Amino acid sequence: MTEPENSTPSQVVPLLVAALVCDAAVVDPSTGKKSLIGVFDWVRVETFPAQQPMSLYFKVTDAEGFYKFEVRYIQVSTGEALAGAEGELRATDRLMASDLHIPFPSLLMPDVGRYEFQIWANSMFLGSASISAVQRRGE
Amino acid sequence: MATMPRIQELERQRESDIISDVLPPMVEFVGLVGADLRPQSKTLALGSLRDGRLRVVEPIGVVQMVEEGKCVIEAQELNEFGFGDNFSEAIQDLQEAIAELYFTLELEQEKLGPDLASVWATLSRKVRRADAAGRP
Repeated sequence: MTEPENSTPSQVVPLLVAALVCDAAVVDPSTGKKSLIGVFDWVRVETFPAQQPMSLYFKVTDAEGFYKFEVRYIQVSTGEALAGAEGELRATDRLMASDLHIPFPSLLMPDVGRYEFQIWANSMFLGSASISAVQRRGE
Repeated sequence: MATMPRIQELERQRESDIISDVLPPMVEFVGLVGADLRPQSKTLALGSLRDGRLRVVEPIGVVQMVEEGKCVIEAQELNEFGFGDNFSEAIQDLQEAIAELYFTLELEQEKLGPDLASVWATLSRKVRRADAAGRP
C-alpha cells in the first residue's frame, strides 16, 4: 500500500527564473526540450476590445515540497482578473528546475494598456510577465 | 469570486499541437473571467524582490489595502509600504523599498537601535544575498 502524498503547502520559496509570453511552445518528444515560438511583449491592435491567443512559459527552481500554482491574467490599470490557470507541482530536489507552458485560449484585451500574467505559488507572489497592447495606427 | 465553466476541452484540443510535459494533467483553466481582484484588504505573501542580488528565502507577509482609491501594500513586520494606482505598481514599489531597506540596514547593522535591529533580524532571516548565500 502506498503512502498518501503530502499535500501540505510548502513554505520554501521557489525562485522564478523565467517568465515569457509567446504564441506557442513545442516540446521535442525525444528530449523534452521546449521551443518557444513568437516571444513577444507587446501587440498592436486594430480595435478594442480585442482578443489575442497567448501562451505563458515559466520556469522555477529551488522548490521543495508541494505547491499549488496559480497564474492570473490581469488588466493592470483596473486590477481585474480576465483569466487564470491553476496547476500543482511536487518538487523533491531543490537543485532541479521545473518549467511549464500554459496555452491560453484567446485572451481579452478590453483597452489599450498593460496586461500581466501574475505567478503565484502557495499564495506567494513570485513575479510576473507583462505585455502592452497599443493601438494600431492607420497606414 | 465568480466562476465560469472550465475550458479543459480547449486545452485538450491544443494538446495534440502543443505539448507541455511538466504539469499538463494537473493544469486546468479556472473561471476568473469577471472576477474582481481589485485591491481589497487581504493578506498575501511576497516571494521575490525583483532584485537579482537578493533572494526571499522565507515568505514576507504583506497586507493589501485600498486607501483613497490608491493601492497600498504593507509589510507590517518590516514597517514598509508600497503605493500605486494598482496592485502591480504597489507591489513593485514595496519590493524596491524592501530591497533598499536591506542594503541600508546591512551597511549600518553595527549602529542600529533596538527597533531597527529587530527589523534587520527579521529581514536578514527572510532575505539573503543571492551571490553570498547561494541556495539556502
